[in-house]
Formats: sequence, C-alpha cells, structure tokens
Amino acid sequence: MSLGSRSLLTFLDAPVVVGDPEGRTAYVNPAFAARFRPGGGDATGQPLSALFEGGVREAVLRAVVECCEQGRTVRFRLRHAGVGYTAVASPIVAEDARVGVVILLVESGAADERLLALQRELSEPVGELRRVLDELMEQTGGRRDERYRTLVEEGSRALARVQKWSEELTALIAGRPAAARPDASFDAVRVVQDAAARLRGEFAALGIELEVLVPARLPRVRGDGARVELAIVRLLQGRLSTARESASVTLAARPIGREARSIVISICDAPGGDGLSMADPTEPIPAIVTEIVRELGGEIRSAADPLVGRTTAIRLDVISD
Amino acid sequence: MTNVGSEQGAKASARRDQSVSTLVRDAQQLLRGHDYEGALDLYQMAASLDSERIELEGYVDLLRSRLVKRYRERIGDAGRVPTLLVPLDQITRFDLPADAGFVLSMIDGRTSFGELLSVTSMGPFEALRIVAGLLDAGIVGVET
Repeated sequence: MSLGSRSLLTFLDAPVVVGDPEGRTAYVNPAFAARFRPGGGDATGQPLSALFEGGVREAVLRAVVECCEQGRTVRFRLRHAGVGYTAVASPIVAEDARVGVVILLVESGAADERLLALQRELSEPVGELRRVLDELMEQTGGRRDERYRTLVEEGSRALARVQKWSEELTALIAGRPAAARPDASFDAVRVVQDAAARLRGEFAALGIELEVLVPARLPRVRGDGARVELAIVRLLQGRLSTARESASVTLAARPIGREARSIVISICDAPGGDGLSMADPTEPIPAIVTEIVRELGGEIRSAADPLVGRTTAIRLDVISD
Repeated sequence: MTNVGSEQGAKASARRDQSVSTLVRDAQQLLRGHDYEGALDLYQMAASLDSERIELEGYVDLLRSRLVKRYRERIGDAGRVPTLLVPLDQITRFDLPADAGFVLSMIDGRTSFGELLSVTSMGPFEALRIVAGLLDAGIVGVET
C-alpha cells in the first residue's frame, strides 16, 4: 500500500490521504501535509483518526467506515482552518479482498458555501410555516370550514414540496445524492399526489383528464421520494405529448402481493370509446426514469393492449419494520 | 440432484407461463364483450401467479381506471343523497361482504355519495365499486 514519494499524487494541489485496510495512514501527499499537518511530522503508520480533530474527525471516520463496509464512494463536506472542502472517499480493494480508502479533498467554491448558507436561511421560515399550517389544520376540522381546510391542505402539500426540494438541494451541494441514503423512505401517497399536482394544469389545458387513484394510506417505500416524483412527472409529461387523443390518464398506486411487500405505481392511458382505435400505443420509457427505478431496486415495464389501453407500471419495495 | 431440481423448476415455470397466458387470453375474450369486471378478476389472478411480470399489475390498474369511470357514471352526481331501499332486517339475505355492510351502515338519508366515499377510508376504487354494486342490486337508491 505504500506509495513512493514520487507518486503523481505528490504533485496534486488537492489534499489526498490513503488509508490501509487496518485504518492506518499509508500515504498523505504534500498538499495534505501542508494544510492539515503543518509541522506535524510524518503521518505514515498513524491511525487515520489521528490526522483530524473534532467534527472533522467524526465526519471522516463515518465516511471511511461507510466506504469500506459498503465498498462504494462516499461524498461529504468538511471545514478546516476556515476553508470548506468537498471530500470524496473511495474504496481500494487489495488482492486479499481487504478494503482500504483514498480520500480526496477539494476546496469548495464560494458559491457552494453561499448556497449552503441560503439553504439554512430558507429552512427556518419553512419550519415556521409548517408549524402555522399544522395549527390551522387543527382549527379547520368542521364541515363549515371545509373550504378553508382544503386550502390549508393544499398549502401543506406545497410546503412539503418546498421542504423536500430544499433537502435535495442540501444533499446536492454536499455532493451526496439523497438517493444514496440507505435509510431513506417516503410516503408514496404524497409523492403521487404531488406529481399529479405539478402537472394538473398542463393536463387541463389540453383537455385531458388526469385522475389519481390512491388509497388514503400506503406503506412507506424505500428510497428517495423526490427521485420517484421526478420519474412520475417525466412519465406523465410523456403522456401529455403523446396521449392527446385520449379521454383521460390515470395515475394509480396500491400495495401488491399477499403481504404487501411492494407497491405498484401505474400510469394508465385509456383511449376514448372502446379502446380499439389506439394505434401503436407502446411508449418508450425515458432513460432517467429507468435509471431512477434501478437506483431504488425497483422494476418498470410498459405494455399496451388495443382492447384496454397502455400502461407503465413501476414496482417499488416497501420498507420492512 | 441440482439438475433434477432445475428441471422441476423449469416445468413448474412452464406450467405457470401457460396458466398466465390462458388467463390473459380469456381476459381479452371478456374485454371484447366489454366485461371489464370479469377481465379484471382474470388479470388479478394472472398477476398473482406471475409476480415477475409487473405489466400485469399495470393492466389491472388500467381496468380499474376504466371501471372507476363506469362506477362514477352509475352513481352520477356525487352531491346526491343515497337512501336504503331494503328494510334493515332483510339485508342479510343479500349475503354482503363486510366492507359493503360498513358502507351501508353509513347511509343515513343525509350523507351524500361524495361524503360517503370520502369517509370510508377505503381506496377510491373499492369504495366506488361497493356503492355502484349496492345501487345495481337495488339495495340503495336515490330520492328523486
């Protein structure tokens, strides 16, 4: 694992640390030594944890553990001596299948720092709005207040979207796609309703009815809801451009299987009349949608039958208790 | 031993494929006669037999979406108020499922179809199917 002093890494301006499978430092390049260990002596052989302090040490060790255990690249952010860094920890697999790690630290741009600060500023009023809407919701339970309750519910859904995209923005700035979080899960009912709400106006403008068929509740689904919403929106947009002769498009979600370990989300497109008039109804699935479904470990299939119409079905796994 | 196992697996898989194909063919036959309810049952059976073919679940949703429109047409204006046409003591002879009994218990001559459908906590398809079925069976009607 030892790298010679004339390694190409020596000439990099970005700090680099290589850790061996025992968690010791195998190599640090001069850029790392200059910024993180000025006058600190040779780091080789020292525990990786000894190279960093405080919150940075915690962030680095967490990333190293995740990287080595799961064998995948982990991105994270850290700040040292007033400078922000975007860090990438990648696994190195030795011949005996033991895993080491290489960590590359790239200085964050000022724009990234500003974006993070703005996101933090946004999250506070969003939280206040959430509290206000929750309180209003409690006060609008009666029949006479039904109209206002609907308005509050619409506001809550819109706010949930703001929160979701705000979190997505944070993850993106941090170089950490939300989909990569292994513990992420989402409420499929809300995701389906949000996706439909985003395009309802466009459907109405073309005179196409968009029907949503979802139960009041569904088991939580594994993965990133924002990505699934994006996939549904893309599929609905596809229907908007090709289903003009159709009387309606239905977006449905329901549990499937005896033990409801999965759900199916379908976009169905039935032509008007008896359905026999639908010509070449097969629809290609956009690449981004296929990618998202694959990321989530799900399955997607498109099919058509001139007698009924066409359908694109996505199966996603629910989270176990 | 492994070979025998895989042969048996392949035979079982072939039998399953054949059953699914037969169910789909029969469902399409029913669709030609506009029997969406019957076709839905067959597609549901096919989907449960072959869970790998997720498109079968898509067809199930397609048929459900078409049936929802039928049920809505049958029910008409959601603001109308349903009433019981059959005396309570005679309802047992219809041998209704529990869900239908639950819906019936909420018909009070004041609650509209729309309100009824929104408070059942069932999925929209299931709720509409029950209400339309009660109308078809003459158990429930609408005051004119």
